[in-house]
Amino acid sequence: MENGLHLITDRTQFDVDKVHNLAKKGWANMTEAERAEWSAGLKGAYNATDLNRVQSATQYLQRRLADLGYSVGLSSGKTWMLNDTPTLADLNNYLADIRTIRGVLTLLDTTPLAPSTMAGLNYQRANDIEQILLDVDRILTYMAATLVYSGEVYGGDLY
Amino acid sequence: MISVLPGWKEIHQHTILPESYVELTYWITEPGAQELAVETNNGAVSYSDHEAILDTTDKDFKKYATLENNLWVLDGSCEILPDSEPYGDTGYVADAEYPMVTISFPSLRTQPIPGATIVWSETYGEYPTRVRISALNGAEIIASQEFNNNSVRSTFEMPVSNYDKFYIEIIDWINPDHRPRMERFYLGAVEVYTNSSLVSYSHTQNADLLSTSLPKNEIRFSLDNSSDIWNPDNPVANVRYLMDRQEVSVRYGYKLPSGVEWIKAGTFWINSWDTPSNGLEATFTARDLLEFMDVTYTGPKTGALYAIAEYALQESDLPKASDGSHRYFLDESLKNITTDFSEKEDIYTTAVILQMVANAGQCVIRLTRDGALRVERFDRQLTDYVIGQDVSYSHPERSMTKPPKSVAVNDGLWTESIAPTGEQITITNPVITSVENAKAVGSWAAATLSQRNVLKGSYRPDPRLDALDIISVESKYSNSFVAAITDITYSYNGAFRGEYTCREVEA
Repeated sequence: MENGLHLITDRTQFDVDKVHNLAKKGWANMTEAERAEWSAGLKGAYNATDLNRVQSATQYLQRRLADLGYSVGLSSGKTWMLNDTPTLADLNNYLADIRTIRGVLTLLDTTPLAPSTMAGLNYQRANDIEQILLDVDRILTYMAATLVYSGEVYGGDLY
Repeated sequence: MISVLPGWKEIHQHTILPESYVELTYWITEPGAQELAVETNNGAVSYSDHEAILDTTDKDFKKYATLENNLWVLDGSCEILPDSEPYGDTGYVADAEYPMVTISFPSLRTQPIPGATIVWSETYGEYPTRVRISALNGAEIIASQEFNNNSVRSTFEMPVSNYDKFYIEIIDWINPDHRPRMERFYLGAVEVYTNSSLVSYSHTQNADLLSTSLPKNEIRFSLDNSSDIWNPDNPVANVRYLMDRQEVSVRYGYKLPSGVEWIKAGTFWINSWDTPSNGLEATFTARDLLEFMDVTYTGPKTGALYAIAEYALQESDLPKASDGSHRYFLDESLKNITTDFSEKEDIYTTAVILQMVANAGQCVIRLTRDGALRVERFDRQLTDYVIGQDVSYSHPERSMTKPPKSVAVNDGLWTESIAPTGEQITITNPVITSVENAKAVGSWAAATLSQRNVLKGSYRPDPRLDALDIISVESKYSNSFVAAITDITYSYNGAFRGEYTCREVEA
């Protein structure tokens, strides 16, 4: 958990297979535990909660960046509901916001690029999206911790 | 020749072939009824292509990413819904608490049918676990049944006649937080027979390079009747629903490293069956579009060949393709040749008229794998197909036709001389009424008949070959003949065997 972002970066093929297996099994044949997992939203699928979580994270990071003097414009993300069907324009805006957040700071060599499209989204790219936001959040935390305020440093001081 | 992936061609270079398949889809229905049906429903999403569930053409169903719980699987398979139309093939996607689809007909259907076949969502692998199908005559429900279901493709057995409407009510869906979907509705039963259920199968094509006779594209297949499902004395037998001209489509497949690749083998229409009470097999014959052209021709006998052929085709009331288009093509050159055979009082069928027009127009009649009929100039392009010695069961037998001396068209209307000696060939075609036309036909026939080599053989076929394809054939001494296929028969008994006849041509 990172400052309440609750980002998910560890999806695996196992998670994807689980979705397939449970979908094929069908609700009537699921155990109570499986039904609970299904109802909560499976990690190997992309649900409204995932879109909303990522959007919340981008808005949170926008505020953090603003606190440090970076002005970042994002699209006005909608709140996604069960049974919505996002369109190309919706998801292009979604990815554009992630690219915008990613592009503000110099990030780690390991920070992935944002996917160019949400078409064909797989678990690796879904992880990448949230890893980007996680890395930005971490760097912002480092930056905040190493900020030097006026009056704190004097000549000859080691810093 | 049908096009195939490189992998298909590559496997046929090997000594041992991978597993092969024949898949025969027999649609037991009232021919022509599906085209009259109309779909309505009690609520569908904006991108739903619900009217098209009655369309039987090949489709490329879209797997759109939606936020239905756990529907958007992170396996890379989902596309994103466009901002606006066109959305492509999506089928019916419900937007109602109790989804119901209605299939209506403009008038009462009196022919009995065995029920209905529905393809739910092969795209998402989902289906209803409980569904109610009702048949109505006006406002009266004449048959209604609830079915448990555990399949994406379901045939619901509910024998019915004198109906003009069906209700399909989806009671339970496999995953209740997913929208019910339907990709296809077929009136009647769509039975699919594969290797394990086909007792025997053969496919014969022949064509005439000079259109002096009608071509044929026919299949014969036998099904297991040990359960008496085709026994005419069995009160619940499928034989009750057998009708001339029910559609059969066939495809052939091979297991490639990438998966099974399928090619279309043909679309045919049932024209006879033998379902003996004492036999273990039921045998069926289905053939090409010419099956429908046994109608007496009543059209014009003067004018352009194109108009005469078109009249014959339309008078035959040929089944249309699922998209409503005609299943025939006529060469534009037929518009430039005219005839006047109004003095002839003979009665002709529309098929014979078409054959005579093709001959007079120096065209061949090609029966395509899509179930279409093409009257066109012969395409002399050499294909990449080779019947080599390594796939031949024996060396091809070569014979030579008698050397032609001349071609006489219509009792001397024109005589095309070829050689000082030889056989006089006669073409009698009442549609050829001008010297100019007779001269063109004579010249065309002479050029074709001057190629006298005919080859016959049997081999391990690549079943993408069709009649009128131009191929290379290797003989005992590896000469490579360029020849046009005039007869080809594939028989299948776990593997394909081919018998062919071809005539040497200039490519």
